Amino acid sequence: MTLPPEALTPAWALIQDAPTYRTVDALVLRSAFARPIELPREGFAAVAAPLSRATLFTQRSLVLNQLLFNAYEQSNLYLPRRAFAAEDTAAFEAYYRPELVAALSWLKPTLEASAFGWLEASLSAPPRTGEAFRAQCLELLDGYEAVPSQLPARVRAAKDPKAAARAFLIQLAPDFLSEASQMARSMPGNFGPLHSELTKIFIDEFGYGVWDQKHSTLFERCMASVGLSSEVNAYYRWYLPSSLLMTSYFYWVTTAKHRWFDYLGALYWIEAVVPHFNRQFSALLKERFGADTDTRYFDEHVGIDLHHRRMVLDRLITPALATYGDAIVPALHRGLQMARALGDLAEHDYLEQLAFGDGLSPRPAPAHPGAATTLRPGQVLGPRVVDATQVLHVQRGVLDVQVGDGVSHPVPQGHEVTVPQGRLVGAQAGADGAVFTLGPVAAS
Amino acid sequence: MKLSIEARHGATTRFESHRFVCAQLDGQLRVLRDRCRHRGGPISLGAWNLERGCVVCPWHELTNSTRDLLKQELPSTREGDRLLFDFEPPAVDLGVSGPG
Ligand code: FES
Ligand SMILES: [Fe+2]
Ligand SMILES: [Fe+2]
Repeated sequence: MTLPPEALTPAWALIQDAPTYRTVDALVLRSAFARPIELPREGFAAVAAPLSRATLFTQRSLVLNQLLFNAYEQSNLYLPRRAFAAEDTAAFEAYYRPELVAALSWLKPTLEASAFGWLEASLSAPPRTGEAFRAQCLELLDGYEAVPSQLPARVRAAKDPKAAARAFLIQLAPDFLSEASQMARSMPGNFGPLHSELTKIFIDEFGYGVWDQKHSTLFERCMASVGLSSEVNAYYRWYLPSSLLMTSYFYWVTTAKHRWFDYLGALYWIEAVVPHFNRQFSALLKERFGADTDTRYFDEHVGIDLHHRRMVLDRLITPALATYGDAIVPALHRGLQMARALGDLAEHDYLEQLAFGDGLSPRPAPAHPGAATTLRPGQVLGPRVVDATQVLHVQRGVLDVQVGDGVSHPVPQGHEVTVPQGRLVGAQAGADGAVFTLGPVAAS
Repeated sequence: MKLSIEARHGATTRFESHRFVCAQLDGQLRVLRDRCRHRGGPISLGAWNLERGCVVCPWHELTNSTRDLLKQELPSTREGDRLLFDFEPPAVDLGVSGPG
């Protein structure tokens, strides 16, 4: 059963008019209530057509993923750190406006089916029994821990390892700045003793009611200590489609209640892999940013997630299997495999973006035919994903081409850079403005 | 601050956010902070082994041994069916220890 496209049209119209999603002239956002999306003028059906591996790293996917992420985050409360300025109040009220929340909720099932359907369809067949599933959990984890993650090595080998590490933190931010907000959604109701076991994990995530211990606080401190803004979603415009997809997945399986066993499988994997990875990443941060770097976020998880992964397996999955039998194995398996697949996609996306930044080098070139875009001094070109490899050529002025926050290259007049297919690119005009073309690579 | 607690294994009381438990430990009833050595979990709700004098915390299931528990003891005196003890709340008490 899917909602007919015409039923979605009024909601789509409301979203297209909403100030919350209007584009802004900034690459780093100063308000958690601004969620610029380059909304295409075409109908919702075109935006929300099912994704696939081939279309995940496209502009349409970015838009779809931003919509879905915002649909979930509208149920999260964010408050500014200071008293509301007049424009904050307006943005705050616009962001939580019930009609807008309802409109996005109405689109959500379609967005979810498009975002996750293809990936679920690609998963391996589930094991037949709960026992086999449990064995598989441990086997996959052993395999994961047997080799060091390639990501820290790639960060170290990057042209600017500090920028690469910051860029990675930015991709974690959609999830970790609101850490365990997904888990919080899995809590209401009454689901027996499992409910209390999940609560034990949740209180750790939320730091026992102590602000300094809350995992999201630890992540904020880590961001601040490497020189990043720790304001919620300041770097929203630099979130890659796969980072949003991964974060949204956990919102999905905690919001759609019949997906709860999927959530258990996914939660196992996400808790399980953390100690091994975080140990390496914490060391990397200290090595690059100095011994005083606040790595408590990563260090905390090296310890507590050893407990959490055991708790998920022994106190949630095992008793759930005992009560509900092998009938829940397919959902557990699906959740675990989805978490793995999404983790791999997000890592791939990040590494490709890193390679794009490292390879960015302006070269002199003649102008390309085609419509040029003019930017005023300081004006930004909002980050977008290019669907096919493109060439960005500067006809006049200087354009600071950006690959992420703080990863940029000034491209002077008469020069161009290549933006590989699937990569996110933004730009800001220099003091004299800029005129540029962004178009397909000329046939040679 | 003079406080008291029922002299019975498992009895609890609190002062502001501070929780206390009465436990049969090392041959006598004692007053302990109701706080696991790990992350401050409520040991009063844990699984006690009175013979071995230890308790498994309900949060992450670590065992608090007699030695661990004695570190949480507040000296007390018996008066009828109650134990009397002194408690000075620390200025800032997060009730939580380091990572692990
Ligand atoms: S708080 Fe007691 S085992 Fe963690
Ligand atoms: Fe956490
Ligand atoms: Fe955790």
